[in-house]
Amino acid sequence: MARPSEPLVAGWGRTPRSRPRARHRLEPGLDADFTQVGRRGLTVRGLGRSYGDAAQNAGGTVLDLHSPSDAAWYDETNGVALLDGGLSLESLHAWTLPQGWFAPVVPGTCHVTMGGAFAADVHGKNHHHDGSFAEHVDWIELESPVRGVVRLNPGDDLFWATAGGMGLTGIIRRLALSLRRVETAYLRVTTNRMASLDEVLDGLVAADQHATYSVAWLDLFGTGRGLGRGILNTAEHAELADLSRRQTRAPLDYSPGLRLALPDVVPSGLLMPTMMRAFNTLWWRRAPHDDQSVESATSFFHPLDAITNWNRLYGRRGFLQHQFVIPSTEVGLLRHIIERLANSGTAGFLAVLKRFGPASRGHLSFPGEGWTLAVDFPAKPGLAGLLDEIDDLIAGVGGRIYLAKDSRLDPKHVPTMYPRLEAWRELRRGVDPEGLLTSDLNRRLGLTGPRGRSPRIAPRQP
Amino acid sequence: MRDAFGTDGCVLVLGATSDIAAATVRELAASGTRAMTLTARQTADLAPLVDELSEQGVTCRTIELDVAATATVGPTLDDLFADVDYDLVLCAIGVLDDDERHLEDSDAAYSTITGTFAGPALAVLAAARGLRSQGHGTLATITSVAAIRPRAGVALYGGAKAGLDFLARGLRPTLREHGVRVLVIRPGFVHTRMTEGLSPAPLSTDPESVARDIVRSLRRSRTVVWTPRLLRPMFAVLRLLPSPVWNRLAAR
Repeated sequence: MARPSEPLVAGWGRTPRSRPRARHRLEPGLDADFTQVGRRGLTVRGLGRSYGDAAQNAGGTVLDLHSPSDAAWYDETNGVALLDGGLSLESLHAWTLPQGWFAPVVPGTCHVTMGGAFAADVHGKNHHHDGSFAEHVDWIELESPVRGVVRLNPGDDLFWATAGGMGLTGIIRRLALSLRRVETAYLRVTTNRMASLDEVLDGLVAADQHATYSVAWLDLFGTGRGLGRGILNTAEHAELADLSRRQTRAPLDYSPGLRLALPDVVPSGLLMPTMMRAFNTLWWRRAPHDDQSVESATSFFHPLDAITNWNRLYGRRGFLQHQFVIPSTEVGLLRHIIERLANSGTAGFLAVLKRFGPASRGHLSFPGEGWTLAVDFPAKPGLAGLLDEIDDLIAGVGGRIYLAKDSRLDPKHVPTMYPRLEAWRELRRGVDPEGLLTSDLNRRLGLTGPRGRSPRIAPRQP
Repeated sequence: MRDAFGTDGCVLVLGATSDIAAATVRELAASGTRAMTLTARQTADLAPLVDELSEQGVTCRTIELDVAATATVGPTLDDLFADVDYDLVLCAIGVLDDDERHLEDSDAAYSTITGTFAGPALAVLAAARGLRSQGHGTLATITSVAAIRPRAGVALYGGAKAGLDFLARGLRPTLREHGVRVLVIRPGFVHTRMTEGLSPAPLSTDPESVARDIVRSLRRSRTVVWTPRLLRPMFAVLRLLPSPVWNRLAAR
């Protein structure tokens, strides 16, 4: 079996990588060939921004969908764009923003494909106001082993099995996305430094009513009354009148800004607790008490994109992000978890708190009414017990973990956290009964169900 | 699949009734392994261990496998791999007998050969086949320091273990290309049921320490684990001794 081996494939967190047997690109417009898929199945990969193992496939095929393909208007007057599944959010904005159209939901990076955004049913800082990505999609074209390419709209169950379905129901080839009209490419941002967790929570609740975008950054290194202190950001799309004279010259100019690249030589221990503490303290102190500013869309939505490979900061051992959602009423639990994290000594470097509005209809869609906290951690084995403990608490109140970020969840929690899993499996079986669509994430968590035949095998006689 | 912390979620242990295997299984359970398949000649012997693991929330499955029935080894493992992905396969199969008996009784010699080399070798090959098609996982084989330099009294056992050690290391480059890691574990004298009644060699150890060394090395990029660790520098020297000196040292 001599053949050149494919390089390892990793998620954004660079934690366990795996080696596919074959990796190739799916060109826009060409049908996928499911007959060539071997026993280890097929995984669709966009820009690889899932933190865990959602877009890797050990021993199987990885199909790259990202392409700098064209996009076109489906309905220009209403701002409905017809986009290839492999088109990145960055390319979308480079095309639509000068015409005054902005993506309805924008995640923390512009390096996501449209297919990936739909498959993870991503959310943005406006979830409490506008919901998740899939809720702004008029229809998708899904290519599956059984049905080939079919157009699905929000009236179809399969549409919602695919929203948040982590690419396991088919390949999202094209979609029609309703964009938002904007006057400028800028945002009017209000920054508020808050001295305690209570203030942050109250601020976020209040922002539900008055702000389109809201998010809070928490300092998990604070102690005593400063525990959970943070910075609350709220924002609105800026109007022409808000801009400075320089900005008014090109109000819809899309500029990704300066990009720094980080070499892959950072030692795993660089982000030591002391350093993270110092950074967090400094960050909190330099934030103003109540300040208005006008920022470009890039700097407000994608600050981390300024460093191309910021995931390398954590060194070769990699990192992970733990993001959960719990119902609004569970403020006590939220506080307990934040205290638990802060007192554990393994506090995360970056902690982001947000409020979600009502859930979309996606079977495995992550966002749902309540609080969501996302924390980045270096991947150290000592953390496993703490996160398992937190997961038990979350599962107990009907909360869940974001699959697109996960790289360590105990599989026993999946049916509890995603109670519509069975219905989703049923729909999935209809389009892929042989289980050709899979991923390392699917194998680790058993999303599509056990692959086993008989539970017990008697040894064969010679 | 391995998780972000390098914890092996699903493990296959061949020869799980051995003391080292049982200790390793306990250590794995403590490190976060959630599913295990254990094989033994008689699955009934695994009942206490399975009860203990189940209490800790580990999903266990037991399979009857006697590697002396060489024709069953490949098919049994193939069936296992058809059902799930294994992140780790630990081969802990081996029988220890005395050369004095081997010299007198060729049946006894033959069982040592099948029980310590032929059978485990077939199991290692079958596991390698399964792991290779998965494209991920670790193949860990327990050999012995007795495999490093021939010693009076355990010549056949040492020879069989040396064969297994060679096989595992020889498979490494091929498996590596398929994303599979090969780990060879060389314990020194371990106080177990297998070595009961034998006079312990220097640096003797217990199954729990061996298990800790094995599980710790799973998260690291080791290829050969000597346990206790001091055996490695020790054997670096012992290997170079002239035969008469070595034989005198090794004779009990």
